[in-house]
Amino acid sequence: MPEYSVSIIWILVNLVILAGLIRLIKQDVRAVPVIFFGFGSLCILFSSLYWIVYALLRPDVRMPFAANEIAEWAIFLSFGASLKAASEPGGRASRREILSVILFIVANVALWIAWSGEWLQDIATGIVFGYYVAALAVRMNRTEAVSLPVRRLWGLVCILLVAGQAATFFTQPPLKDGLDLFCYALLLLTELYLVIKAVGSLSQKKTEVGTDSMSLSFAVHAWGTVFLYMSADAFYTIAGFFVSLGYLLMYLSFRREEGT
Amino acid sequence: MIYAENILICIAVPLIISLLFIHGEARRFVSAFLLGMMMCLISAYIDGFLELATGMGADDTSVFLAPVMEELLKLMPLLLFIFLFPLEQSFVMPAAAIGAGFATFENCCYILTSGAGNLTYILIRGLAVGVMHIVSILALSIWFMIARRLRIFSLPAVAVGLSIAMIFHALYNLLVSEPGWSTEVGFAMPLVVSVLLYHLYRGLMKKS
Repeated sequence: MPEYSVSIIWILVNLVILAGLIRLIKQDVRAVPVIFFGFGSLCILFSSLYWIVYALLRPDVRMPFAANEIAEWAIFLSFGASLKAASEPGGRASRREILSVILFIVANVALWIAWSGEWLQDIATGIVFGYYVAALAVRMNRTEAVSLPVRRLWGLVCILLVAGQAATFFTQPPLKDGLDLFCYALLLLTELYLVIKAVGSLSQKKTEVGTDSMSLSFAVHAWGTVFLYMSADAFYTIAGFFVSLGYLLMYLSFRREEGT
Repeated sequence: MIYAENILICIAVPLIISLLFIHGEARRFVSAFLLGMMMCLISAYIDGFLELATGMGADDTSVFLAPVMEELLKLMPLLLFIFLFPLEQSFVMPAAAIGAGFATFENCCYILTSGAGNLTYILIRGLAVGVMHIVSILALSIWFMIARRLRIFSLPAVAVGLSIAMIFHALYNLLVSEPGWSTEVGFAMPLVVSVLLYHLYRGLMKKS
């Protein structure tokens, strides 16, 4: 049931977003980032619908491979393309930041493979998710949406998270449960920080430093996705809720950018 | 067991001969139709191979893998048309022809395997699968037209469009794979989407 609820929330949220985007486009807002974001939203809608139909028609049968995984890759690609199109040309993150992003994604892919055993899907997901996160890192670096000390702290959180999750493979309860809880706390606190920052940026002037609502709202979604892929049971539902909040914040940031 | 290659030759030869006597848009349409039929045969080969290689079984292959392969193979000739013809050219005609060719050949093979005795079922199949193959590639071609006009025709743009076509197709195959309410919803889906797509296309044409 929790998996159903996440998909149902995503469908509802993305229906609202698509209706809003259609209105934006009708008002002659034909910006490329909006169009890419709309396609990402459409992919989420179809993917969630597929997941629900599958769960209804074939309950308790594990999905070996399906088109909704390709839709997930398309979501990351379209969001990455949307971010790239929204950023002015020429911007780039430092080599150290890009390397950190790559290492974090590779570590995540290794963990996904260890959990699911699905090599091909996990590597492909890692590549497109990496593209998305790299585009996000470039934008965040340029707009200084998050200050340097916070970014360093964030890097430390990522290291602790990967180390904590890797350690769960070699430990036994209750230490394993403790490590899991520690990782969930890290994921949740970082997500809450990003949500507060993104919501705050939406009500501030665009020109102020650290108020790039677009990169902050995309960061809510990207970190929510990391959270989602690392979670199970109730935490999966919580992460799913944050991801849907990310979708809404992303849409609101587009409205703010377009000045509607 | 049917001999799909023989069926293809039987249908394709008169069309190939007709190519010698027709020109312009008509020739392009027939060429795209032929390519659509060829892609259908190739996708049947690949699906057969994947079924054996993965040990998934015919049902699971058609639900999980066939939509991915079929949409990917329908995209190939469409990309060929996109790169061959100038920017102003509409891709809707070749896309419709590729989809129609693919659906026609698939329906021919299906009728030879399962028989054509039940007219109601044949009509439903024609209106569902037939329309679905056309709708998925038409939507893709309309997106490509928009992407080229906006100068964003890139790998992410192609991948996003393709994945939407794939998931639409996969959703249809999943819905019709089980008897009951889902089959009825599945059969209705391509028709509903085709109506929406028609309105979208008309709107785009008016604006351009």
